Amino acid sequence: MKTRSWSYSEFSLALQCQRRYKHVVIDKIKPESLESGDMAFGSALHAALNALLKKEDGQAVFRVFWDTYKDKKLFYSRFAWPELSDLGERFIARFERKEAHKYVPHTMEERLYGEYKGIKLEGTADFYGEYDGILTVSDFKTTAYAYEKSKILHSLQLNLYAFLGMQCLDFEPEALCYVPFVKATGGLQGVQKVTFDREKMFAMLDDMVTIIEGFSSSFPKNPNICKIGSNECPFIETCWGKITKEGEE
Amino acid sequence: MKTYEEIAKELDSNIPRDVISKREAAGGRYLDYLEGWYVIDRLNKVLGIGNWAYTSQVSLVERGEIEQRSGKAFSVHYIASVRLVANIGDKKTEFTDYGYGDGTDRGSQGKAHELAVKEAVTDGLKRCAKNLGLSMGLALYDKTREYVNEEKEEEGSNGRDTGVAPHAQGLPPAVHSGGGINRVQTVPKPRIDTKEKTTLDAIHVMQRVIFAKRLTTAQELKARLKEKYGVESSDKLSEDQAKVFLTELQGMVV
Repeated sequence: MKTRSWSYSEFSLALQCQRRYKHVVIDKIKPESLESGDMAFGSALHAALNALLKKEDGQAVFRVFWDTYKDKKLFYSRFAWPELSDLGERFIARFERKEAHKYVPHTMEERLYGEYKGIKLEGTADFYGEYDGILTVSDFKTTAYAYEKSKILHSLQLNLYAFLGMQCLDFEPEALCYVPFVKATGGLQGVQKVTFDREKMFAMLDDMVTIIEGFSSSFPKNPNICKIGSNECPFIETCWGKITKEGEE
Repeated sequence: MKTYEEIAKELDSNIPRDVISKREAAGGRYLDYLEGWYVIDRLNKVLGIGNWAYTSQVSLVERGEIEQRSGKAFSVHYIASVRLVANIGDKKTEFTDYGYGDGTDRGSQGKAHELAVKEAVTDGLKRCAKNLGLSMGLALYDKTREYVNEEKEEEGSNGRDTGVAPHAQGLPPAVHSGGGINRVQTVPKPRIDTKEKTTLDAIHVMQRVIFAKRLTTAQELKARLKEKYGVESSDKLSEDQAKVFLTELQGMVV
């Protein structure tokens, strides 16, 4: 495990369940469950914002990207394809009107590869550059409901991006930002920003490295997350076999 | 005289940050609101004096005495049903809504009633007015504050100097308008400005989507352009070549 390269999402996955991490990342098993429409929407919006900040036609990019999902069978939680189509256009229009002029990109959507205390790290931040004149690492988020401030106060993801920016781009941020696009309200929540703290970043990375070093090559299962609420792990049968009506394997 | 479209645009514009007041609500939270005089002033400025009016009916819902630090005080609570009618260009519209007010006075029951009734009617009027558009208070219902401008209200945008409160001229007389009431049509969401697209623009869009979907890389696409079309970038394609290349890209994305 220690020799692998770790992104934030892979680290989060392994923290939840090392066996699930193995299925997804190492074995690259694609679960039979439907692709998430919400995740596809997030990808489409990211592509559009990326284009917009490069002074290209964000709306056109979104339309083309999102149209490819129109007739696909996807799993949608609250909003279906047409509603997300409308939401996406509105998000982009509002972002273009209210926020885009504040961004001066240095690097965007570039995969960075680094290393910290012998552990390989990688990540793709949405934005390294100036936001309102301040050197900032930003990540755009599509979310069902408004983001709480606590999510950014202790964001390993943004601190990891900050580290990679420092190591690979010689970019030391002054601030870390989440930019949430809230589907429930159809608007921009307002940039969630926190001052970058170098010491805190290193403390978080130290913890991350400690945890990674503690991962087991036997990839133990975490039964606690096999089923959370109505969400069932797509690998539940792979891990535990087929469950009969009587609950016997 | 302003047209319907001009008025609708003004009504549906953003609210400047500096006209929003705050009041403390239950649980120590603060709520944003527009003051009554501002709403009335805006109705006058946007619709025109004489182009709107309202009627009201109040109901006493509770009365009694409350204990304050300085002693007992009369306390009354009213609900007001308010009907606002307005001419918007050549369209007539109306809204009915309810307001709440309470009044407290140590010395005079009448004073307590006066305060409560006025508050209830003003509240009801504001609730009616918000239906006219974002700038009339509707924007404050959006928790993201999307439609609130950080900039101060510009001088002249509401016909008065910033920071100088106009005199409250008193409430306009109640007028009953005739029939033929139509609901205000909300200003339609502006459709995306679709510029005339050249083939090259479309290629750039498709390339952006292809890279975002990780269907290929910029280097691979560059190699393809060199191999098939003899050019280094899509900008160097002829119109005919560009059309062929665009079709190729569209095939990759589908």
